[in-house]
Amino acid sequence: MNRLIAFGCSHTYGEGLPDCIGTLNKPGVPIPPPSKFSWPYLLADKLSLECINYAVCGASNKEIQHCILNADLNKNDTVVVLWTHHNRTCFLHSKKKSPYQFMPSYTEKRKGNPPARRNLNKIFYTHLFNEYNAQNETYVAIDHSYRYLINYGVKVYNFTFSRDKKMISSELDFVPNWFLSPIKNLKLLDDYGADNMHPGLKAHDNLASQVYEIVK
Amino acid sequence: MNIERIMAFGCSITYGEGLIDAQEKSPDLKKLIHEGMPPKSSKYAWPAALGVTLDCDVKNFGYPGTSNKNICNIVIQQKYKKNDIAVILWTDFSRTTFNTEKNKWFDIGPHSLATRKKTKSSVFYKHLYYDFNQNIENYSAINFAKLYLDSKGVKNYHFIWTTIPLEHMEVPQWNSVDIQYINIRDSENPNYIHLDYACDDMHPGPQTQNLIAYTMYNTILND
Repeated sequence: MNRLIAFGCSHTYGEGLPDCIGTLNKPGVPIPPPSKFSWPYLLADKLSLECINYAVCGASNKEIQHCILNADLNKNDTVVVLWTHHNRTCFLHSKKKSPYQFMPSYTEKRKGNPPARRNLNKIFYTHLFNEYNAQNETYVAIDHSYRYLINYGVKVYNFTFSRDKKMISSELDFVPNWFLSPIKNLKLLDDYGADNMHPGLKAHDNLASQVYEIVK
Repeated sequence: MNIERIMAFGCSITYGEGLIDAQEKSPDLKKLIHEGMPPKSSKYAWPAALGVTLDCDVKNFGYPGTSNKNICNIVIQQKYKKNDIAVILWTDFSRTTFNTEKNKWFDIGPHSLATRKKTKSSVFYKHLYYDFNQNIENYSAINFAKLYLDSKGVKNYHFIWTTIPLEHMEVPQWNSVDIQYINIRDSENPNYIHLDYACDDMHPGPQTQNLIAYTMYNTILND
Protein backbone atom coordinates (compact mmCIF):
# COMPACT_ATOMS: atom_id res chain seq x y z
CA MET A 1 0.00 0.00 0.00
CA ASN A 2 1.38 3.42 -0.94
CA ARG A 3 1.89 5.88 1.87
CA LEU A 4 0.87 9.40 2.81
CA ILE A 5 3.62 10.99 4.91
CA ALA A 6 2.61 14.09 6.87
CA PHE A 7 4.82 16.67 8.53
CA GLY A 8 3.83 19.65 10.64
CA CYS A 9 3.19 20.98 14.14
CA SER A 10 0.38 20.31 16.63
CA HIS A 11 -2.16 21.30 13.95
CA THR A 12 -1.08 18.21 12.02
CA TYR A 13 -0.48 16.05 15.10
CA GLY A 14 -4.06 16.60 16.16
CA GLU A 15 -3.39 18.04 19.61
CA GLY A 16 -6.64 18.82 21.40
CA LEU A 17 -8.63 16.12 19.60
CA PRO A 18 -10.45 13.52 21.76
CA ASP A 19 -7.62 10.96 21.64
CA CYS A 20 -4.82 13.55 21.95
CA ILE A 21 -5.27 15.97 24.80
CA GLY A 22 -2.72 17.99 26.72
CA THR A 23 0.69 17.09 25.35
CA LEU A 24 2.35 20.48 25.41
CA ASN A 25 1.64 21.84 28.84
CA LYS A 26 1.95 18.79 31.04
CA PRO A 27 5.62 17.84 31.33
CA GLY A 28 5.94 14.30 32.62
CA VAL A 29 2.59 13.19 31.21
CA PRO A 30 3.10 10.54 28.50
CA ILE A 31 2.53 11.98 25.06
CA PRO A 32 -0.17 10.14 23.13
CA PRO A 33 0.53 9.21 19.49
CA PRO A 34 -0.79 11.51 16.74
CA SER A 35 -4.59 11.62 16.71
CA LYS A 36 -6.44 9.23 14.45
CA PHE A 37 -8.86 12.13 13.90
CA SER A 38 -6.11 14.45 12.59
CA TRP A 39 -6.36 15.67 9.01
CA PRO A 40 -3.55 13.42 7.66
CA TYR A 41 -5.40 10.25 8.74
CA LEU A 42 -8.68 11.54 7.31
CA LEU A 43 -6.93 12.46 4.07
CA ALA A 44 -5.14 9.11 3.81
CA ASP A 45 -8.52 7.42 4.24
CA LYS A 46 -9.98 9.43 1.35
CA LEU A 47 -6.96 8.58 -0.82
CA SER A 48 -6.79 4.92 0.29
CA LEU A 49 -3.21 5.36 1.46
CA GLU A 50 -1.42 4.22 4.60
CA CYS A 51 -0.84 7.24 6.86
CA ILE A 52 2.40 8.06 8.63
CA ASN A 53 2.10 11.21 10.69
CA TYR A 54 5.53 12.64 11.57
CA ALA A 55 4.13 15.87 13.04
CA VAL A 56 5.63 17.18 16.29
CA CYS A 57 3.74 19.29 18.83
CA GLY A 58 5.40 22.68 19.29
CA ALA A 59 7.52 22.21 16.17
CA SER A 60 9.01 25.15 14.33
CA ASN A 61 9.60 25.15 10.59
CA LYS A 62 13.25 24.40 11.31
CA GLU A 63 12.22 21.30 13.26
CA ILE A 64 9.78 20.27 10.51
CA GLN A 65 12.62 20.60 7.99
CA HIS A 66 14.83 18.45 10.25
CA CYS A 67 12.09 15.77 10.40
CA ILE A 68 11.73 15.81 6.60
CA LEU A 69 15.46 15.47 5.94
CA ASN A 70 15.72 12.53 8.33
CA ALA A 71 12.53 10.71 7.41
CA ASP A 72 12.62 7.23 5.94
CA LEU A 73 10.92 7.78 2.58
CA ASN A 74 10.03 5.66 -0.45
CA LYS A 75 9.88 6.99 -3.98
CA ASN A 76 6.14 6.27 -4.30
CA ASP A 77 5.25 8.18 -1.11
CA THR A 78 3.06 11.28 -1.18
CA VAL A 79 4.35 13.94 1.21
CA VAL A 80 2.09 16.63 2.69
CA VAL A 81 3.51 19.40 4.86
CA LEU A 82 1.53 21.93 6.89
CA TRP A 83 4.12 24.57 7.74
CA THR A 84 3.74 26.42 11.00
CA HIS A 85 4.18 29.92 12.50
CA HIS A 86 7.44 31.49 11.37
CA ASN A 87 8.12 33.11 14.75
CA ARG A 88 9.16 29.77 16.20
CA THR A 89 12.55 28.10 16.06
CA CYS A 90 14.46 25.29 17.71
CA PHE A 91 18.00 24.43 18.71
CA LEU A 92 19.11 20.87 18.09
CA HIS A 93 21.24 20.02 21.09
CA SER A 94 21.48 16.26 20.74
CA LYS A 95 21.08 13.62 18.07
CA LYS A 96 18.98 11.40 20.33
CA LYS A 97 16.85 13.95 22.18
CA SER A 98 14.08 16.29 21.05
CA PRO A 99 15.33 19.80 20.24
CA TYR A 100 14.78 22.78 22.53
CA GLN A 101 11.70 24.49 21.14
CA PHE A 102 11.22 28.26 21.00
CA MET A 103 7.91 30.08 20.60
CA PRO A 104 6.68 33.41 21.98
CA SER A 105 4.20 31.78 24.39
CA TYR A 106 7.06 29.87 26.04
CA THR A 107 8.35 33.17 27.44
CA GLU A 108 5.24 33.49 29.62
CA LYS A 109 5.08 32.58 33.28
CA ARG A 110 2.27 30.06 33.50
CA LYS A 111 1.45 26.58 34.66
CA GLY A 112 3.09 23.89 32.57
CA ASN A 113 5.89 26.12 31.31
CA PRO A 114 9.03 25.08 33.20
CA PRO A 115 11.33 27.94 34.36
CA ALA A 116 14.34 26.59 32.43
CA ARG A 117 12.41 26.61 29.15
CA ARG A 118 10.89 30.01 29.92
CA ASN A 119 14.28 31.56 30.68
CA LEU A 120 15.93 30.16 27.57
CA ASN A 121 13.02 31.40 25.43
CA LYS A 122 13.23 34.83 27.06
CA ILE A 123 16.93 35.04 26.25
CA PHE A 124 16.34 34.13 22.62
CA TYR A 125 13.38 36.45 22.04
CA THR A 126 15.02 39.36 23.90
CA HIS A 127 18.45 39.26 22.30
CA LEU A 128 18.36 37.42 19.00
CA PHE A 129 14.87 37.14 17.53
CA ASN A 130 13.73 39.43 14.75
CA GLU A 131 10.83 39.07 12.30
CA TYR A 132 12.87 39.34 9.12
CA ASN A 133 15.27 36.59 10.14
CA ALA A 134 12.42 34.37 11.27
CA GLN A 135 10.66 34.74 7.93
CA ASN A 136 13.87 34.13 6.02
CA GLU A 137 14.50 30.93 7.99
CA THR A 138 10.99 29.78 7.17
CA TYR A 139 11.42 30.37 3.43
CA VAL A 140 14.74 28.52 3.47
CA ALA A 141 13.28 25.61 5.48
CA ILE A 142 10.35 25.23 3.07
CA ASP A 143 12.33 25.60 -0.12
CA HIS A 144 15.23 23.38 0.98
CA SER A 145 12.77 20.65 2.02
CA TYR A 146 10.85 20.97 -1.24
CA ARG A 147 13.94 20.74 -3.44
CA TYR A 148 15.26 17.82 -1.36
CA LEU A 149 11.98 15.91 -1.66
CA ILE A 150 11.59 16.60 -5.38
CA ASN A 151 15.17 15.40 -5.93
CA TYR A 152 14.32 12.30 -3.90
CA GLY A 153 11.50 11.62 -6.33
CA VAL A 154 8.42 11.86 -4.11
CA LYS A 155 5.26 13.91 -4.69
CA VAL A 156 5.19 16.95 -2.39
CA TYR A 157 2.36 19.28 -1.36
CA ASN A 158 3.09 22.29 0.86
CA PHE A 159 0.51 24.19 2.87
CA THR A 160 0.21 26.98 5.39
CA PHE A 161 -2.82 27.75 7.55
CA SER A 162 -4.76 30.78 8.73
CA ARG A 163 -7.83 31.52 10.80
CA ASP A 164 -9.26 34.97 10.18
CA LYS A 165 -10.91 35.76 13.46
CA LYS A 166 -8.10 34.75 15.80
CA MET A 167 -5.04 36.09 13.98
CA ILE A 168 -3.65 32.57 13.88
CA SER A 169 -1.64 32.23 10.72
CA SER A 170 1.41 30.68 9.13
CA GLU A 171 0.63 32.22 5.75
CA LEU A 172 3.63 33.67 3.89
CA ASP A 173 3.72 37.44 3.36
CA PHE A 174 5.62 37.46 0.09
CA VAL A 175 7.59 35.12 -2.14
CA PRO A 176 11.33 35.73 -2.58
CA ASN A 177 12.55 35.49 -6.18
CA TRP A 178 14.61 32.36 -5.40
CA PHE A 179 11.66 30.51 -3.85
CA LEU A 180 10.59 27.53 -5.95
CA SER A 181 8.13 25.64 -3.79
CA PRO A 182 4.42 25.84 -4.68
CA ILE A 183 2.49 26.48 -1.46
CA LYS A 184 -1.19 26.94 -0.75
CA ASN A 185 -2.87 28.44 2.28
CA LEU A 186 -5.61 26.45 4.04
CA LYS A 187 -8.37 28.21 5.96
CA LEU A 188 -8.97 26.88 9.46
CA LEU A 189 -12.59 26.60 10.56
CA ASP A 190 -13.61 28.35 13.76
CA ASP A 191 -13.90 25.00 15.51
CA TYR A 192 -11.75 24.00 18.47
CA GLY A 193 -10.56 20.90 20.27
CA ALA A 194 -10.82 20.16 23.98
CA ASP A 195 -8.01 22.63 24.76
CA ASN A 196 -10.06 25.43 23.16
CA MET A 197 -7.01 26.38 21.13
CA HIS A 198 -6.17 23.81 18.47
CA PRO A 199 -8.46 22.80 15.57
CA GLY A 200 -11.37 20.54 16.52
CA LEU A 201 -12.89 17.53 14.76
CA LYS A 202 -14.79 19.61 12.18
CA ALA A 203 -11.77 21.78 11.45
CA HIS A 204 -9.58 18.71 10.84
CA ASP A 205 -12.23 17.16 8.61
CA ASN A 206 -12.39 20.40 6.65
CA LEU A 207 -8.57 20.59 6.37
CA ALA A 208 -8.53 17.03 5.00
CA SER A 209 -11.19 17.97 2.42
CA GLN A 210 -9.27 21.08 1.32
CA VAL A 211 -6.05 19.10 0.87
CA TYR A 212 -7.92 16.25 -0.85
CA GLU A 213 -9.20 18.63 -3.55
CA ILE A 214 -5.57 19.47 -4.38
CA VAL A 215 -3.91 16.08 -3.96
CA LYS A 216 -6.58 13.78 -5.54
CA MET B 1 34.75 23.39 -20.17
CA ASN B 2 33.71 26.85 -21.30
CA ILE B 3 33.80 29.09 -18.22
CA GLU B 4 33.02 32.76 -18.70
CA ARG B 5 32.70 33.87 -15.10
CA ILE B 6 33.50 32.66 -11.60
CA MET B 7 30.97 33.53 -8.93
CA ALA B 8 33.07 33.21 -5.78
CA PHE B 9 31.51 32.95 -2.32
CA GLY B 10 32.94 32.73 1.16
CA CYS B 11 34.11 34.63 4.20
CA SER B 12 37.17 36.81 4.88
CA ILE B 13 39.54 34.39 3.14
CA THR B 14 37.55 34.73 -0.07
CA TYR B 15 37.36 38.50 0.37
CA GLY B 16 41.11 38.59 0.88
CA GLU B 17 41.02 40.26 4.27
CA GLY B 18 44.42 41.34 5.49
CA LEU B 19 46.00 41.32 2.06
CA ILE B 20 47.82 44.50 1.12
CA ASP B 21 45.09 45.79 -1.21
CA ALA B 22 42.11 44.75 0.99
CA GLN B 23 42.84 45.96 4.47
CA GLU B 24 39.70 48.05 4.76
CA LYS B 25 36.35 46.81 3.62
CA SER B 26 33.88 49.05 1.84
CA PRO B 27 31.21 50.45 4.20
CA ASP B 28 28.59 49.55 1.56
CA LEU B 29 29.81 45.99 1.13
CA LYS B 30 26.62 44.32 2.43
CA LYS B 31 24.42 46.40 0.13
CA LEU B 32 26.68 45.88 -2.87
CA ILE B 33 26.80 42.11 -2.33
CA HIS B 34 23.04 41.99 -1.95
CA GLU B 35 22.62 43.89 -5.21
CA GLY B 36 24.96 41.49 -6.99
CA MET B 37 27.60 44.16 -7.52
CA PRO B 38 30.49 43.46 -5.16
CA PRO B 39 33.34 45.98 -5.39
CA LYS B 40 36.64 45.02 -6.97
CA SER B 41 38.27 42.86 -4.34
CA SER B 42 41.85 41.90 -3.61
CA LYS B 43 43.83 40.81 -6.64
CA TYR B 44 45.78 38.49 -4.33
CA ALA B 45 42.76 36.57 -2.98
CA TRP B 46 41.99 33.08 -4.38
CA PRO B 47 39.04 34.19 -6.59
CA ALA B 48 41.27 36.57 -8.57
CA ALA B 49 44.06 33.97 -8.79
CA LEU B 50 41.59 31.32 -9.99
CA GLY B 51 40.20 33.79 -12.54
CA VAL B 52 43.69 34.32 -13.97
CA THR B 53 44.31 30.56 -14.15
CA LEU B 54 40.95 29.83 -15.79
CA ASP B 55 41.14 33.01 -17.89
CA CYS B 56 37.68 34.30 -17.01
CA ASP B 57 35.90 37.12 -15.19
CA VAL B 58 35.39 36.95 -11.45
CA LYS B 59 32.73 38.26 -9.09
CA ASN B 60 33.90 38.01 -5.50
CA PHE B 61 31.03 37.86 -2.99
CA GLY B 62 33.27 37.11 -0.01
CA TYR B 63 32.23 38.83 3.20
CA PRO B 64 34.57 38.94 6.22
CA GLY B 65 33.31 37.20 9.35
CA THR B 66 30.19 35.74 7.83
CA SER B 67 28.73 32.28 8.35
CA ASN B 68 27.72 29.45 6.05
CA LYS B 69 24.09 30.30 6.67
CA ASN B 70 24.70 33.74 5.19
CA ILE B 71 26.97 32.51 2.41
CA CYS B 72 24.02 30.35 1.33
CA ASN B 73 21.73 33.41 1.51
CA ILE B 74 24.13 35.34 -0.72
CA VAL B 75 24.39 32.43 -3.19
CA ILE B 76 20.62 32.17 -3.71
CA GLN B 77 20.14 35.92 -4.18
CA GLN B 78 22.44 36.27 -7.20
CA LYS B 79 21.58 36.28 -10.87
CA TYR B 80 23.59 33.74 -12.87
CA LYS B 81 24.52 33.70 -16.54
CA LYS B 82 25.08 30.80 -18.86
CA ASN B 83 28.64 29.46 -18.44
CA ASP B 84 28.99 30.83 -14.91
CA ILE B 85 30.49 28.51 -12.34
CA ALA B 86 30.04 28.93 -8.60
CA VAL B 87 33.04 28.28 -6.38
CA ILE B 88 32.34 28.37 -2.68
CA LEU B 89 34.88 28.31 0.11
CA TRP B 90 32.63 27.44 3.05
CA THR B 91 33.70 28.72 6.43
CA ASP B 92 33.96 27.58 10.02
CA PHE B 93 30.92 25.78 11.48
CA SER B 94 30.99 27.72 14.76
CA ARG B 95 29.48 30.85 13.17
CA THR B 96 25.93 31.91 12.49
CA THR B 97 24.08 34.93 11.10
CA PHE B 98 20.85 36.73 11.91
CA ASN B 99 19.37 38.72 9.04
CA THR B 100 17.69 41.93 10.13
CA GLU B 101 16.56 43.51 6.84
CA LYS B 102 16.82 42.85 3.13
CA ASN B 103 20.53 43.64 2.88
CA LYS B 104 21.44 43.80 6.54
CA TRP B 105 22.62 41.13 8.93
CA PHE B 106 24.78 40.57 11.96
CA ASP B 107 27.30 37.78 12.04
CA ILE B 108 28.13 35.84 15.15
CA GLY B 109 31.41 34.03 15.47
CA PRO B 110 34.12 33.52 18.06
CA HIS B 111 35.82 36.61 16.54
CA SER B 112 32.77 38.79 17.32
CA LEU B 113 33.12 38.18 21.08
CA ALA B 114 35.87 40.78 21.08
CA THR B 115 33.98 43.48 19.16
CA ARG B 116 31.73 46.34 20.24
CA LYS B 117 28.65 44.27 19.36
CA LYS B 118 29.63 41.38 21.58
CA THR B 119 26.39 41.11 23.59
CA LYS B 120 24.52 39.03 21.02
CA SER B 121 27.56 36.82 20.50
CA SER B 122 28.00 36.31 24.24
CA VAL B 123 24.34 35.36 24.60
CA PHE B 124 24.54 32.98 21.67
CA TYR B 125 27.67 31.16 22.81
CA LYS B 126 26.66 31.07 26.46
CA HIS B 127 23.07 29.87 26.04
CA LEU B 128 22.30 28.71 22.53
CA TYR B 129 25.41 27.18 21.02
CA TYR B 130 25.26 23.41 20.44
CA ASP B 131 27.72 21.54 18.20
CA PHE B 132 24.94 19.34 16.85
CA ASN B 133 22.78 22.34 15.94
CA GLN B 134 25.69 24.06 14.22
CA ASN B 135 26.51 20.90 12.28
CA ILE B 136 22.95 20.54 10.99
CA GLU B 137 22.55 24.27 10.26
CA ASN B 138 25.80 24.35 8.29
CA TYR B 139 25.23 21.17 6.28
CA SER B 140 21.72 22.40 5.60
CA ALA B 141 23.06 25.67 4.17
CA ILE B 142 25.62 23.87 2.02
CA ASN B 143 23.05 21.39 0.68
CA PHE B 144 20.47 24.06 -0.05
CA ALA B 145 23.04 26.12 -1.97
CA LYS B 146 23.92 23.08 -4.08
CA LEU B 147 20.27 22.21 -4.78
CA TYR B 148 19.65 25.83 -5.79
CA LEU B 149 22.68 26.09 -8.10
CA ASP B 150 21.95 22.69 -9.67
CA SER B 151 18.39 23.81 -10.43
CA LYS B 152 19.80 26.90 -12.17
CA GLY B 153 22.18 24.76 -14.22
CA VAL B 154 25.21 26.41 -12.59
CA LYS B 155 28.14 24.07 -12.11
CA ASN B 156 29.17 24.36 -8.47
CA TYR B 157 32.30 23.46 -6.54
CA HIS B 158 32.47 23.23 -2.78
CA PHE B 159 35.52 23.70 -0.60
CA ILE B 160 35.81 24.36 3.10
CA TRP B 161 38.29 25.54 5.66
CA THR B 162 37.44 24.91 9.29
CA THR B 163 39.21 25.03 12.60
CA ILE B 164 38.11 21.40 13.07
CA PRO B 165 39.32 19.01 10.33
CA LEU B 166 36.41 17.98 8.14
CA GLU B 167 36.83 14.26 8.86
CA HIS B 168 36.03 14.97 12.52
CA MET B 169 32.60 16.31 11.65
CA GLU B 170 29.57 14.06 11.59
CA VAL B 171 28.03 14.13 8.13
CA PRO B 172 24.21 13.91 8.09
CA GLN B 173 22.88 11.00 6.02
CA TRP B 174 21.01 13.47 3.78
CA ASN B 175 24.16 15.37 2.78
CA SER B 176 24.74 15.15 -0.98
CA VAL B 177 27.58 17.62 -1.37
CA ASP B 178 31.13 16.58 -2.04
CA ILE B 179 33.11 19.11 0.00
CA GLN B 180 36.86 19.33 -0.36
CA TYR B 181 38.80 20.30 2.75
CA ILE B 182 41.29 23.12 2.30
CA ASN B 183 43.79 22.52 5.04
CA ILE B 184 45.24 25.83 6.15
CA ARG B 185 44.96 25.08 9.86
CA ASP B 186 46.22 21.64 10.76
CA SER B 187 49.95 21.31 10.09
CA GLU B 188 49.96 17.72 11.40
CA ASN B 189 47.63 16.50 8.66
CA PRO B 190 48.49 15.87 5.00
CA ASN B 191 47.70 18.44 2.33
CA TYR B 192 48.55 21.28 4.68
CA ILE B 193 48.94 24.26 2.39
CA HIS B 194 49.58 27.22 4.65
CA LEU B 195 52.64 29.16 3.53
CA ASP B 196 52.29 32.73 4.71
CA TYR B 197 50.13 35.22 6.60
CA ALA B 198 48.57 38.43 5.32
CA CYS B 199 49.48 41.86 6.74
CA ASP B 200 47.14 41.29 9.69
CA ASP B 201 49.16 38.21 10.77
CA MET B 202 45.91 36.26 10.91
CA HIS B 203 44.51 35.57 7.44
CA PRO B 204 46.22 33.66 4.61
CA GLY B 205 48.88 35.60 2.74
CA PRO B 206 49.24 35.86 -1.05
CA GLN B 207 51.19 32.61 -1.47
CA THR B 208 48.67 30.62 0.56
CA GLN B 209 45.84 32.24 -1.42
CA ASN B 210 47.59 31.09 -4.61
CA LEU B 211 47.81 27.56 -3.26
CA ILE B 212 44.11 27.60 -2.40
CA ALA B 213 43.35 28.70 -5.96
CA TYR B 214 45.67 26.01 -7.37
CA THR B 215 43.90 23.30 -5.30
CA MET B 216 40.56 24.53 -6.61
CA TYR B 217 41.89 24.71 -10.17
CA ASN B 218 42.94 21.05 -10.05
CA THR B 219 39.51 19.99 -8.80
CA ILE B 220 37.71 22.02 -11.47
CA LEU B 221 40.04 20.79 -14.21
CA ASN B 222 39.59 17.14 -13.19
CA ASP B 223 35.81 17.44 -13.18
